[in-house]
Amino acid sequence: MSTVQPHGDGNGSGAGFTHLPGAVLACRGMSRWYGQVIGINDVNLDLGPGVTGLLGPNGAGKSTLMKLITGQIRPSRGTVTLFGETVWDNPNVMRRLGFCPEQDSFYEGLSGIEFVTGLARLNGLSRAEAKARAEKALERVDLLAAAGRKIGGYSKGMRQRVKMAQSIVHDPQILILDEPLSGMDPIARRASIRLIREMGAAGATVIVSSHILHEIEGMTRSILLVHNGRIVAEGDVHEIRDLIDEHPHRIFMETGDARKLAEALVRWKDVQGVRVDEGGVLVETIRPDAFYSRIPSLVLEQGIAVESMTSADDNLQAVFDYLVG
Amino acid sequence: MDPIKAVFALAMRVQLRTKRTLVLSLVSALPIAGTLLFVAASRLKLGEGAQTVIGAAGDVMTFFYLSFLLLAITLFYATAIVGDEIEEKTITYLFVRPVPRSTIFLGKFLAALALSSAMILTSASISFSVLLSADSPAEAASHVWIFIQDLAILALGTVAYSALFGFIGARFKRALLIGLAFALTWETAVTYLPGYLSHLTVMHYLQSLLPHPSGQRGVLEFFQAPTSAPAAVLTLAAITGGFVALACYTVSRKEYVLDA
Repeated sequence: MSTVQPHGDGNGSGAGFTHLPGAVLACRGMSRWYGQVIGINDVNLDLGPGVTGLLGPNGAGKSTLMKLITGQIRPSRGTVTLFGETVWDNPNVMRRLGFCPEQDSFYEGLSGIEFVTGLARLNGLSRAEAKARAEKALERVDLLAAAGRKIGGYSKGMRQRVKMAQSIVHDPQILILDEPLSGMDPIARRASIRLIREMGAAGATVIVSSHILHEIEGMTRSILLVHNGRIVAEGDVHEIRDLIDEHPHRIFMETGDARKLAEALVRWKDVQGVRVDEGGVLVETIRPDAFYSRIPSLVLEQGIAVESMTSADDNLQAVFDYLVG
Repeated sequence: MDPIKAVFALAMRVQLRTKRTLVLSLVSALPIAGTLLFVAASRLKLGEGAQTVIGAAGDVMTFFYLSFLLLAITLFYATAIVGDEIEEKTITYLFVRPVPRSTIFLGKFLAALALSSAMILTSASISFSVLLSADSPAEAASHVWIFIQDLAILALGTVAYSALFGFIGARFKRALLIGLAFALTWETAVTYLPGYLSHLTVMHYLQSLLPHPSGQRGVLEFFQAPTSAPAAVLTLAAITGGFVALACYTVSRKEYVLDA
């Protein structure tokens, strides 16, 4: 029996997530327009504790949905509530919310520890407590060793991790992560996935967006599929994976040693194609889960520095085209 | 911890590391250099009807500080209260904290005010000290009180202009350009127009408070009748309160949509 269920009935009666008794997040008929452009259209949603993946191609409306949930913008129509309260400019809600935004923006002159501590103090913590919590959060994202360095000098992956640290520093009950793994190196990616799973297992409501199924798959089985501003389906991630696996998955691996990496990858059976491009290697695989899981070992054993991995969403787009007819 | 203090502390830490602070620190030294030149030139003309120290002080205060440094420093810091956060896309980090948006503005406003005041008042104090050093000891003592009043006027001006430019920064996208146009046209040109129009500028009330003796205020007195000191102070307080309230309201209500 299929566990992926269409969602677009507009009355919130979709299976799995709607009308949960302990719902933390509730959206009712929520739409948002930017002038003539629809960002999110008639979303009905209830989410409770645990990790939920928000999956959709770039431009699907994931970030708009997250901005609405975190009170960055207001719905043009309908409502969004967290813990039964409206979100906009509501300290009661914000106290329990952690948000890791998509944009790669920071107070570049601050060090990692200053950045996280400074924001933790806005959560009402004393200087000493904020610093202690910041150190703990940076340790959880494996950035404590670089905590004293300026963020302006961080790599993309380190910037992603410090962004995640500021979102968990106050132990939020609901954590919203917008493309948190983008640009991370393989080891940090694995550690972050583990951290997200731990947060969900500890009882937090975690919503993670991505345009890469494999990332979501490592964190949760519960997914929402977003396309053209609508939640088109919700259900079990493996069902979607089966659909996606019919389409080759392309991954760009940024490295200074592209030739050596390509030589190693071309021996793997599930790799359909390898191309050395400027600054890295473009790989095509039919088994992304197996591929991703082997990367950390490759990095460690062969000493090839992989700076970041990014995945095109063309295969996901194909699945969405299939789902929405 | 008091949220306004937390916002203030973070904003100070961020601002102290910006290039803006470095550049404006250098800019705030310009009036000091100008004052040194002024004093040197006056000394060269001694005995030929040279300007008195207190007369020079009036010109230094009016042209170097009120018309230039006060506007420049408050414009750059206050429009950046919200403007920087939008431009750098960092406002999200602040708006998802349990602090009302108006409190975030107030904390950042106080930080901008502290930095602006520090630069303007330090620069003015040094310039006035340079002027006093050119005075005879007996006259210098009598001029100290005037310089203290000048510093108080600059402090009032810093607060009022920070509130005004802070509102412009919260309300408009190209706040720096709008503020610059406002400072160069309205606050500078309209102030010197005869008639009642000048009463619609902040500068008018600051100039009304200048303590320099009659006949020492340059061209100003030919064009305008000053407002009484109590009325000027009250008006400046009302301008400050009004624009801070408007800015808080704007930040509380306005959506700042950041491009991805």
